[in-house]
Amino acid sequence: MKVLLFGVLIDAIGEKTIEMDTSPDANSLKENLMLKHPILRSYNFVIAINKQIDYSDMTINEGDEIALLPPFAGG
Amino acid sequence: MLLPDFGKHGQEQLKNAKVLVVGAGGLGCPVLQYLGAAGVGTIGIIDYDMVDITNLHRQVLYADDDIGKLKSLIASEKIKANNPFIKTIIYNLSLDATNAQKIISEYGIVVDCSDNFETRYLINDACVRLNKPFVYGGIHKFEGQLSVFNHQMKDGTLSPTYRCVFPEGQEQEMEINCSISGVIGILPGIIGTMQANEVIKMITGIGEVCAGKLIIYNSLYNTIVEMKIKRKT
Repeated sequence: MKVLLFGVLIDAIGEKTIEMDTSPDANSLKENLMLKHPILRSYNFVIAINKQIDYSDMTINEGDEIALLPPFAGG
Repeated sequence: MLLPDFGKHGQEQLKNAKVLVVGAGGLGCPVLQYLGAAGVGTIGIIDYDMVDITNLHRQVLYADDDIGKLKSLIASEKIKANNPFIKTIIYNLSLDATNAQKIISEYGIVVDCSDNFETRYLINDACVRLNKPFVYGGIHKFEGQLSVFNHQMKDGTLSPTYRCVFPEGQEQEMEINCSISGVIGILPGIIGTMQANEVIKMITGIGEVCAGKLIIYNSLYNTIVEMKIKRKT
């Protein structure tokens, strides 16, 4: 499962996308992300599934488009 | 004024509008320039900083001669030179918990052109309390975000807020502003111009306001991603 990164998360990981095993829902994806990339624990971000920001531990299906969105401080 | 759906009425709506711009930096410069040129009647400018040589590639209201001078003052002079019929109110201060509510209460729309998370949450919370919409813009290196928060939608509901999208978390770890990370000068120009465009649509009621969604623009690849967001109750 391909996960798209934005903003400071690209700087943190050094890639624009990361490959993850499929997780059943947003919360378990977040846990798996932290295990695989512990540096993400230091960052504030939200998960978007199919361009919808997750508010309620949404289910993830094979082929869903996953993105990690941090806020941007700069102005 | 010649545009259909805009006309004299739209111009009068702009003249009667009061807009507060928080931050006269990379985003604030194009916002101020275009709102002033469009004829927004009253424009508040908040910034305590002085012009630095490292600002000039992206903060295009300022010239080499302005280095060391107050941004709020120079920005006001420049936009009034372009349009002497507008009124500006200069706040040479830092927006904080002691003054945010009082200042914001004087305006109809707030434009968040700040460069730190503390100010962004402060603007959000004051606008939610005062029931004011605010136009968020944020940039990082080659990417920019845009959304209109706490905006009254056509069905009467309020659009999501900054906190609905980004609940407070580890911001301190990632507060990387343009002075630290660097930014291509054109990017704040693009995002700031998009913010000014939202303000004009909100005032005149034309088009569709960028509320209920977060836009992410990438200047390297010319991509725009639109994420749906919801208001948390």
